[in-house]
Amino acid sequence: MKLEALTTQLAVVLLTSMVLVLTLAVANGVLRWDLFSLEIERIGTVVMAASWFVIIASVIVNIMLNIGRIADHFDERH
Amino acid sequence: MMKDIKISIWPFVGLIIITGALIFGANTWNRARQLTKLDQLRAHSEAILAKHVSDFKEGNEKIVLENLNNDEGGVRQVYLLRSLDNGEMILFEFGYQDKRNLDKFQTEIIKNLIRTDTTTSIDGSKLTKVLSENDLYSFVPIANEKKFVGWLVVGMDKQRGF
Repeated sequence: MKLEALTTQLAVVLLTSMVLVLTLAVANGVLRWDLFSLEIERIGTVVMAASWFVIIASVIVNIMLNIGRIADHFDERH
Repeated sequence: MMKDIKISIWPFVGLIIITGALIFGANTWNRARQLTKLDQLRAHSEAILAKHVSDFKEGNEKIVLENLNNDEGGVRQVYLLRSLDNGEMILFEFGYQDKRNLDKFQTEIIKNLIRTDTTTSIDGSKLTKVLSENDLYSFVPIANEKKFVGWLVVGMDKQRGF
């Protein structure tokens, strides 16, 4: 599998998961739920932060892999 | 020139359905979790109550323990421990409260206890002034959770002391 396809798929899957997890987190806060213990919430926060880093890294890798195409596109327009 | 981009609506419908199911499942999970905590709190409360009853028995031969609310499985439980020898009374109230309103709630519940003019006992008699402003009371947190606190109010005759 090409690196570009891998990072794109990874980012899409992680972003979709993040949408669901963040929805739960917002509901947990707004509705005053107590879904998980403090320890589980701390671990979840670390996992979420790591996921965001991977998403950001994937996007940067994709931009770097396609920087030539982006430059060509700008050249064509000007 | 912009190209026509066709986007299917079904992935969005799927996401909305999944989100709804997730919220519903989380709500069910949350309720089950709170009920488990409530059971633990009740067991804890009953252990505290049993100890008070045991202590009370030492100075009084005939005692009566009444559950003043019939709310089985309810969040608040009120017990009155009475001595038939000299009429001494101790009132216990257990509950489970959101931490955000705890200070206000603490004041309110003590006010309500003091305001109680008459309480119907299980045997039908009226108990006048379970607690008055001159009585002692104590508000004790007995279970400290992330968002909730379990509490116990003990009120008793001032002459007897704690």
